[in-house]
Amino acid sequence: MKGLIIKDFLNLKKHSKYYIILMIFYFILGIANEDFIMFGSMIIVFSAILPITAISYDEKNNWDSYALTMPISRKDLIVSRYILGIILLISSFFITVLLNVVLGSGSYRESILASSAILAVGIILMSVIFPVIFKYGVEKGRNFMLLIVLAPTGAAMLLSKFGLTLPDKEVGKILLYSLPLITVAVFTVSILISVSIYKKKEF
Amino acid sequence: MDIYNITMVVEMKIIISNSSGQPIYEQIVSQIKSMIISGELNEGDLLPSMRLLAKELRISVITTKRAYEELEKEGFIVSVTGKGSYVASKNIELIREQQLKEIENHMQSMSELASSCGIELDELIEMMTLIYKGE
Amino acid sequence: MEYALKLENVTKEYKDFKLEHVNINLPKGAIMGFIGENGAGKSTTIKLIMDLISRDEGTITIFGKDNRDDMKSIKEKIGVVMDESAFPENLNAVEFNSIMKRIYKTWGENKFYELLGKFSINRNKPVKKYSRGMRMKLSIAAALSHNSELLIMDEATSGLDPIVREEILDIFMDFIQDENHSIFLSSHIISDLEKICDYITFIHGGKIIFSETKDDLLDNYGILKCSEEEFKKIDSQIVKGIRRNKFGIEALILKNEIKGSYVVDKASIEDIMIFHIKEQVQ
Repeated sequence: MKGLIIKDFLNLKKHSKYYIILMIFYFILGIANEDFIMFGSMIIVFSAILPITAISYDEKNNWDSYALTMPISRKDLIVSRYILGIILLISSFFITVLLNVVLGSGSYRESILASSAILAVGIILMSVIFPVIFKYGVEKGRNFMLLIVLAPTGAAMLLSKFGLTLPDKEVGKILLYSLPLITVAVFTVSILISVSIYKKKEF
Repeated sequence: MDIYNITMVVEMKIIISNSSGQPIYEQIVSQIKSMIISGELNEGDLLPSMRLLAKELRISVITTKRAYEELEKEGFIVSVTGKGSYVASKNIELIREQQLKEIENHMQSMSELASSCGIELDELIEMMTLIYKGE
Repeated sequence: MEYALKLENVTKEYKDFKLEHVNINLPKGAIMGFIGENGAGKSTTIKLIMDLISRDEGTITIFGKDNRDDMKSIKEKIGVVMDESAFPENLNAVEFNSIMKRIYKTWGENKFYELLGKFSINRNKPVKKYSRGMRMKLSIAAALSHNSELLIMDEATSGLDPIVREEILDIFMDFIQDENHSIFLSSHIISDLEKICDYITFIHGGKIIFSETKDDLLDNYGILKCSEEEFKKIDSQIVKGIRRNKFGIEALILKNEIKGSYVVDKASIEDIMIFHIKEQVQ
């Protein structure tokens, strides 16, 4: 497992320069505004994208077939990618929180809450996309991801067209408090689905 | 119990030919046999392992194994599990028997050939006498 | 007799191809060559052995254990080289080493670098800049750098020049000096196999046509050259394949069974394979 994660980091090392430059830009923006909300959102987005990039490298190299000739199980291949995602997402979360606490203005509580919500969304996004990628490949997975990202906006537009309003504050609050539970549930189901997809896969 | 020299593996010269009609294992058997008979290989000498021989000659281990088994069957070598194969104590009787058998085989082919081209026995004996004496 | 690898009655069906009742027995300490034309089923068989694809019927045991039980500990002792090498292209050998040593419990970093040195591979060069020969050598170095007892090679030497192939065959011969080590080697470069293999298994159209010791094959088969009339007089039982040309017949026969004097040439393993295929066509 460790070996697989190291491989991913090594693969991403060269690729991530581009993202780091962007993050520096957002960092500077954040200092200017004394608020790292943009930084926090973007870093989470990138953290969700990078594991997919890592998987695409593996796909291009046909790594999984080779890896299965080593003492690596199909389950290892799946779990290592989830772990990679979690490592990136949680690191991003802590970096953002730290920046807000040290360099930002505004209440700590609100910024931590906001960052947590973004983290949760990041984890949920990853959990929804991964099984699609494992079953259909990275290309289709990326298309699916585009769909998901646009869906909420599309849904909101549809709702307003029909004259419906967004759910009120009470519903919003319940949603927020159950977010951790939802996140854990979605994440767990996602891993189970992905492992079972790989168990049946022929290489 | 015989004591064998646990010294270095002997230097052996074995040349095999892929184009001779003779199966490779037979070539090995006859070459090692003659080295033992001629005294080039002495009693107690450690032969190279089957695997090493196979590697150096670039042939299959199965071939060298067969050769060694044949040599052991005929009493020329002894294989000790875990240690290797050693040249057996020279059994003069055995060697003489071998050589006699070989001469008999040659004689067999000679007489077959002779009778197939109409050479009579006494003519054959005459030829034999001349050749033997000529040495 | 202990077997390093044993396939019993293995079957795998695809839409347009079927691997049927494959039986392969590789004793410990031996090298088996696996020959067949492209598309005959060699890679499919190897994938079945490695559990990359699942079998429909039959059993596969490696070191005596079913290849579906505890494959992880079995794989610690197998070194595999497949045709399309699958390294992370952007990484170099040093980075590759740091990955592998965390995957294999018995990974020998020194051994790996020693082999790379022997192969003249620059350890700081990214894999995507390697030539085909270098990739193969890297695969082979990796396969030999942990305590492998069984090497499984799928076309490990194709695309390599004769000098490199010779080096690699030497390495295989070294590997087999330990009688616990075995090699299963598929190739369509039959001349390589003819040099070092103990056993030859021939697969064609998804079926095993023969699996014999190389010595038996070379000792028992010969190529008979004669005319049509002479051929008619020969016992058809000893004929295993025929090739007719304008001037006569070439037939693969059991040369120790033929009576009378005829022109019988040595048959190479390649000849034996080709004639067997022709026999199928008849």
